[in-house]
Amino acid sequence: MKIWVDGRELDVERDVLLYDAMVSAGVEVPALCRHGGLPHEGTCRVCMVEVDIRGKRRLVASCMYPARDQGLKVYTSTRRVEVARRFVIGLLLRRNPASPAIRALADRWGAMDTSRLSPVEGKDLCIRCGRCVRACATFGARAISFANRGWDREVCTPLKEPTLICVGCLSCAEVCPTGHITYRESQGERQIWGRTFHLVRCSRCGDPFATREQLELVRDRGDVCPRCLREEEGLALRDG
Amino acid sequence: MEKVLLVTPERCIGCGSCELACSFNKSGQFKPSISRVGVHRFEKGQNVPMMCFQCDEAPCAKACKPQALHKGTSGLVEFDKDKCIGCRMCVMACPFGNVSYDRYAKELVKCDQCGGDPQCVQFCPTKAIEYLPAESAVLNKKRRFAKRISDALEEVKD
Repeated sequence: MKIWVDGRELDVERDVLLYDAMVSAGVEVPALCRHGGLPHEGTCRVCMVEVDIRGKRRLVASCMYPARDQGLKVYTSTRRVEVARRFVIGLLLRRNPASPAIRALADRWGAMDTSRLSPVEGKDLCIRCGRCVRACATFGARAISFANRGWDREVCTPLKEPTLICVGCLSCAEVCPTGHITYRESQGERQIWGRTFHLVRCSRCGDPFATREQLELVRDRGDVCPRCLREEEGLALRDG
Repeated sequence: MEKVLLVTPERCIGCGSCELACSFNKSGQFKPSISRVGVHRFEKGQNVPMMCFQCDEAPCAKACKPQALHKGTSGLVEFDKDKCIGCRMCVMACPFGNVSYDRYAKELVKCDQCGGDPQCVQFCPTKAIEYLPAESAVLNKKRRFAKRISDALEEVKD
């Protein structure tokens, strides 16, 4: 089916998400909470665009709006879109003025002056986009989730205690767009969400390489690190 | 036509040109540690270059929950960076250690045959790595190669 993006005709499949259609056509649209491997939730609202369905115009989050109407018109830089986007980015900047990711957004797309709003107390880098929560659920651990409401809303483990269902895979930290989730790794220990994992040492070279919980997820996985596995394979070839 | 990378360890002289060509092509750096192909050098001048086997029943793709890795129609195990959440389950699942994760670039270090023009083949001076059409003769050789590995791995396990 055909849709129009800023006056340009695009041939897309039905139900393709507007964001994906636009990006693959080379249209630049900012996004923060969107992640290609996770279900979309539209929490950050940075990717908003204006759609025109039979004369009715409205703002939608392009990361989760499927193209279903033949001849749908999409506008990515109308005044309404720009005001909404600058407002959202202004609010994000108010919350995390130090975050490089938010600053980069503000530099590229502009940010509304939000100094009239009261300052945010207890600044952290989290924008409550929920990427980490979705990543953990997709991975299958469900060790973290949102707790509380309104200003107190935050991502944490159950009762904010170190949890046994976390496997220490670091997906949450990997997908965090602002760098809020951090971990520490040194001398065979990995710390994340208040829990310390003692990394398994390779039975061949002795280097720490993964958590016990990570290895248990793979059936018949021994304690040999990937690098040594490769070397064993090489040895096998040499002798074979 | 589908093509495969065929390795003949007897021809490898361990010069490491493939590693340099690979890492330079992928990241602009001459850095064997992030090269998709790795040469293992053993005593007596025996060297074995290794890279992803593009398994049919790829354990890495099976372990990948967001389906960033999948066996594509091209015959390759394809990686979609956009979908990767960095859980490293593929690294744990690969029985050959042929996948690793670059935590700085946030991407997988895995051979994709350079999209049809493998640089390791281009720069290998002795044809220890060849890029050949997946014909029966080549595939048979590749299968024998794979069997040797799995047999030897069984021995190691026992």
